[in-house]
Amino acid sequence: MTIETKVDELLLHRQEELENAKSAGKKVVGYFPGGYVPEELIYAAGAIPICLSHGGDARTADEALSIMPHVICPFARAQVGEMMLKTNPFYTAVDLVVVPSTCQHMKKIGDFWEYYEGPKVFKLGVPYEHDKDFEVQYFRDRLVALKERLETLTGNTVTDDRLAEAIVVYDRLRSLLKALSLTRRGAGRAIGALDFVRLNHASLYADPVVMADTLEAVLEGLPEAAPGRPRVLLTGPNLVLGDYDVLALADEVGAEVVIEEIFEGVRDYWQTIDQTGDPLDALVRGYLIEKRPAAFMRGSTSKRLEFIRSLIEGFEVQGVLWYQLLCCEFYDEEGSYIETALRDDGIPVLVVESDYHSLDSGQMKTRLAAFVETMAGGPVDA
Amino acid sequence: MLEFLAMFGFDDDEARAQEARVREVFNRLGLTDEDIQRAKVRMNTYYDMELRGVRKLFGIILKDVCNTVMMRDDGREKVIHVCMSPGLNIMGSAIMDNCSDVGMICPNMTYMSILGGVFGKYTPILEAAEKEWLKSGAVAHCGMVKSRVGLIGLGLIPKPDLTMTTGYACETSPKVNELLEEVYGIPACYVDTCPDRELSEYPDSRRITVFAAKSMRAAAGCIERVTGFRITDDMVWKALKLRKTLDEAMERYRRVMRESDPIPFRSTHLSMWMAVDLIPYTEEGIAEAVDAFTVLCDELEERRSRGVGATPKGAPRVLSMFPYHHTDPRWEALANEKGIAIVAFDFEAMAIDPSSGAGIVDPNDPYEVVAQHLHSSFTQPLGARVRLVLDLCRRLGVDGVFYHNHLGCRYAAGDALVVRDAIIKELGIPVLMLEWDNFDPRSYNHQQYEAKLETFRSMMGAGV
Repeated sequence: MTIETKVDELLLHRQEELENAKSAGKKVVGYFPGGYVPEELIYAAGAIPICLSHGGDARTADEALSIMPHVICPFARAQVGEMMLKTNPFYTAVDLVVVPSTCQHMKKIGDFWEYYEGPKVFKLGVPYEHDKDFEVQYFRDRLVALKERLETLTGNTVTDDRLAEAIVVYDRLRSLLKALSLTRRGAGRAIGALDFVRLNHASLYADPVVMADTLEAVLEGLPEAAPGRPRVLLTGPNLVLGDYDVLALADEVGAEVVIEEIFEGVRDYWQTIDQTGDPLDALVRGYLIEKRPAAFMRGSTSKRLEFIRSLIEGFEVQGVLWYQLLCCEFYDEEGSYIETALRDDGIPVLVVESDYHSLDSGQMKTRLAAFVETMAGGPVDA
Repeated sequence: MLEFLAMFGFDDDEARAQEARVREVFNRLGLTDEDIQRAKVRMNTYYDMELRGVRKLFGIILKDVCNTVMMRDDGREKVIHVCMSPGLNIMGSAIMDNCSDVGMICPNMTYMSILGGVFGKYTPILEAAEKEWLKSGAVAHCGMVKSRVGLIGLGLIPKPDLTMTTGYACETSPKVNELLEEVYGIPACYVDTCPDRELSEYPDSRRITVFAAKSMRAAAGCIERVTGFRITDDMVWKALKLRKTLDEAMERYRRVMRESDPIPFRSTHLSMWMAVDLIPYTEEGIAEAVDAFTVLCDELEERRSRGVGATPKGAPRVLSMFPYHHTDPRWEALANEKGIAIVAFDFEAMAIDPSSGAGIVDPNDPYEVVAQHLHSSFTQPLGARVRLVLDLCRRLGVDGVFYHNHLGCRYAAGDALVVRDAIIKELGIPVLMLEWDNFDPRSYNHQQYEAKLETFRSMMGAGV
């Protein structure tokens, strides 16, 4: 069974699980991606956490154009499109939606869902800095408010023990994703980029214990890594479930994407949550302070550049593919700076922009092929 | 030059005293005698220069530009740059009045008025920014942040020792300052709030304003670390007290505009309001600004009593969503020519009256008072913004709405369609959506705009 089939089955099964759970009175809590919403809280409340992160489909994004203009990024429009269409069972199943106040586009998702769907939205404030006590306290207070909201919704109390157990469950998931990702570091058995990303995306929807078991099985059965293809780092603001054109195209022209550095849509697995001490404080540290900052956070640029450079070295990357959603203005800014810095390092960079309309154009393929040739020093047999 | 300075409200003595300084400033800004001749024509074309109050306001704006250019020459060695930072001008006043070797500049709006509105030479500043990391076009990055990068890159403002901005409604502005630090080595300090207001909490924004107050206080600490100057609470209280006099004068001016038919002067002057509003004044400067508004309001009221105005009596009244164009007076000039009276803009709508104290948790914290501007409609969640705008339209009895869809501002542009539809549905009045960049004169297309204005005017159906 291919990983794609395995993932499709997991997601289908998850839909059935959601229906059954709801019939049994369990609550489904959706949250938007970016890695700032502690799903452990949702899990500990006895609700089912689902990261609402479908994208890549221009029709869904364009559906929102009647109420949300084209200057909002296609991912944000797709979330509003899903709200309008009400055809996606994951989106229609939610009893509460948690929206992290990260970038303006995410905030618009929250505002629009709130405006049209009413009080089933909880906005989680994410301070842009965390070196001052009042900022950390604010985030903690909002997590407490979220906890209380979840308790009211589910009728369950989120105890420290339940929260600590949830952290263990999700830490296992993060550790397995990291182990899988690291197989791409050198020669030997390795997972392909599209397969890894599909599994990562599935982890945002599936039951975390089932998902972890699936990852363990995948780890045991990895194929040999395909040698000789130019090694690429994929970075950018957003890569969500369904948005696979860029990876497919990269593979088609002979590039091997060996590592991703993405803000939204790819579960962050680089660190685990501290399992000692007060679990709520541990979540604050893990989700705000110790987390590698996304571009909307103040002072993130140099830290992200440093991390990208470490990935380039650690994964023997030969080129960087910057996947930019149109109208993501602050990643656009940061991207220009990082692109210049990497070029100065002698690393080829290609910026590919998308508004979810198909990337599979001749022009794009030609650009990517040229990029691969630059890295390989000549034509490559894809 | 003396004749030109008279257009800025300088009397003979002051013009002679300031002439050398202004010439030096113009020289540093690359403004020639030819530019001055062209500027005279522009001022007489687009602005009501016969009003002494208008000349005085232009004088205040010009003096701020001169003070900015000459900041270090005047002995203020440490320079703090602020932009998109409502409220920080209060801290600026505290600095300017209590310290002679530190200065705060908030140059964007005054430079837009002078280099854009008066001289028509704003595009090179934006183009300079587009040679750096900001992209051309109205959608990618807003003209306000391009202005900041362009002014610094071209050396038209002193290279600051510290930049400050807020992230109240925008990630682009803080990111620009962060990259200015990376590229130019200018340290950056941010004042933030956490924009997670829920509609169910409306109009309560204390969570937000308290955070902003703490962030401002932390920023004062940053100023002290960089400049060695400590802003005390007493200084901020004094600046707030002085500022109140200017706020009252400006409120009188806004009332005159709202309550007059016809509007007593052209809407091209409206962008000057924001330029004057954001200057970090000394005590002397505030008094001058209050005087300018007082003189202006007296003149406008006198015009009102005579029935004199920029549009015919009974002209349709519109609310402007998002402010007026800051570098190009042609937009507002053409609107008035087509018989449309712009009477207010949406930032004036507040969820809580800031002076009521209702939004304050700690009345002993001056920064909480400063943060009360966050009750403005602009920073509200969508549902609250719709409510406030509808209420403002009803109170003003407007016949239509200009929606200045500033594409580079995702915060404002993101709401545009919903707000427009709500206005049309609830109030039955037309909305003219104008896609533009508030700060970029290149977004003007005369034929297209004229056609839209004529159609909009006919939809409002006033028999003028």
